[in-house]
Amino acid sequence: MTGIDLVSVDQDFAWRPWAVAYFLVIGAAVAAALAAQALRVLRGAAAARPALRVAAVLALSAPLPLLADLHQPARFLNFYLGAAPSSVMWWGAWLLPAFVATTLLATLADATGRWAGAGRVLRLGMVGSGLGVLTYTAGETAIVAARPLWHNAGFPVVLTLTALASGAGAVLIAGVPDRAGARLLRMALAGSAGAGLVALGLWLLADPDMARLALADMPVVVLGHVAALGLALPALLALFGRGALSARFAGVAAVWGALAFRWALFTGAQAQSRVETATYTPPALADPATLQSLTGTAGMIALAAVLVAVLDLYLAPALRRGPQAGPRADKA
Amino acid sequence: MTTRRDFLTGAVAQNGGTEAAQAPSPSLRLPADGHTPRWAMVMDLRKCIGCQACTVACAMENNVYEGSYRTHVPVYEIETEFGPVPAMLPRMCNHCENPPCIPVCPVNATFQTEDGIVLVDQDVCVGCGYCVQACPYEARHLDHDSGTADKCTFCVQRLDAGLLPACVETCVGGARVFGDIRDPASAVSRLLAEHDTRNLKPEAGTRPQVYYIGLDDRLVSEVEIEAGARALRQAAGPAPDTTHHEEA
Ligand code: SF4
Ligand code: SF4
Repeated sequence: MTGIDLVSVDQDFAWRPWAVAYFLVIGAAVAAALAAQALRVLRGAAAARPALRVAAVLALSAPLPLLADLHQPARFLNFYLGAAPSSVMWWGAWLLPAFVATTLLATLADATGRWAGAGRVLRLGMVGSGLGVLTYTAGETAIVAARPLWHNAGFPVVLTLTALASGAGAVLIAGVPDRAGARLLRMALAGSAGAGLVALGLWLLADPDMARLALADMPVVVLGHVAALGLALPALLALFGRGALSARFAGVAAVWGALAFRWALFTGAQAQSRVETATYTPPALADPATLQSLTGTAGMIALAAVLVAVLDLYLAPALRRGPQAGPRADKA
Repeated sequence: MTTRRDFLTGAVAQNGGTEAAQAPSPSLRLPADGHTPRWAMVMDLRKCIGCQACTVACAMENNVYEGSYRTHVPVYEIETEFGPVPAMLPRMCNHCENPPCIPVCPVNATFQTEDGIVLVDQDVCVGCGYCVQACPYEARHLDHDSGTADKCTFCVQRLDAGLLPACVETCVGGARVFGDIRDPASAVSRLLAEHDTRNLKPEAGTRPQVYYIGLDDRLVSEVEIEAGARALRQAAGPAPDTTHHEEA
């Protein structure tokens, strides 16, 4: 021991619970988009459709929590008024709209059955920008040397693997009629959650300093929760469960695991004072800021689901009946 | 203690007379010989009594939101061979030579002036908080009123008006000394030449421009502390007046 601190000042978290919601939703959106493309290649367009719709819903929802976490959201256009290539966040400001736009347009092309050539380009853009989004979200946090819990090799790996698991989980929750496609998704979920569990264990257990740091602001029960309920359970359910219900349970557990991991690491890292005299009080689950971000994000996902359903049920058939559409388009 | 008169001595000498001393350049940032200064601060911890006058003067001068700080003076109790003694450690932005807060800014709102002062353009900042995460010294916060990043500016508005930073001017013990390290005659240059000084967290590679005289080894980097004020504060839960501020 060096001594004790006699003076303490309060400091606020710079990234609020909205940031946790954003990192959850955008990670799941990209993973769902990657799953859609993989299923399209392996099983065809029809099998990939549910995953693509989930990707569209989540992609449409992601900008809301991101903007809400800015303390000056009305100035978001400033991201585009100049170049800041040294900032990972600036790259993200371009990658995110590219991913959202290509995902929504690819969904539109798929729903209408038109623009086959453009659809391929759009899906390519969706996959490319989606991989960019995964890279930037992991890189944005991992480069911050002042946050040792983020600035290491383990955190970005677990962040990415939990994103993949939550995306596969979200698609399974929505339901995948194609049985072979559902099986592939369960395997993807089991693989990413299992790998996430191994990576989490290696990251924290292999480095005593990291384990000490993690445990300083994240009780064992929180980390155990992430590992057991958020990673091991969905992996086991996806591997050994049978039927749509167990697949949905696995999906819910995977989404919960990704949320719990982000919550633990975003609040845990920000609660650690770098000058050892500042007090950061982590938001409680019942805090207005937490409830606002949860209800706001859930509301946005519900609204996006309605919009995508309207696209599927009304807009796409109307477009299919357009002047250029022949009888084949009607059947598509 | 640095007075404005002491501070200007170098410029006065170069201007060559008392006439110039009575009518100095209004801005300290424009030295008479035309060189570009590099501002720095020396904290002489032998003189700091932890009175927090600087904390208050900074808040008053810069209209810092109540409960936020651009500078403050953490006080530790450390063990010595004579028993426990208090150790003061005034903290603020180090106006680093290699500041990690600048490259992360996605809108170029945070920048460094030619004379080394790290500033935030309050009209451009989107309040993303990325710079707050990147500063290893916790020298930044997001202002409740403006929603933008806020930090020490070395009182640039006072420098422009020919005045010293408020914390320096108010320090009763003269522990805070401010000046131009490119001017060998300045008070900071002399202190740096005469004393063994240290910076905080040298391992971060930021090359801070706030120097400490008499800094205990144990306070240079991560400070190992046992349950003290912070633990008590954490046990007390959220500040009772938070709601009042947010409603205001
Ligand atoms: S102390 Fe922090 S805010 Fe100040 S220049 Fe250095 S990194 Fe930036
Ligand atoms: S809070 Fe403002 S100054 Fe800091 S990185 Fe974000 S935009 Fe830049």
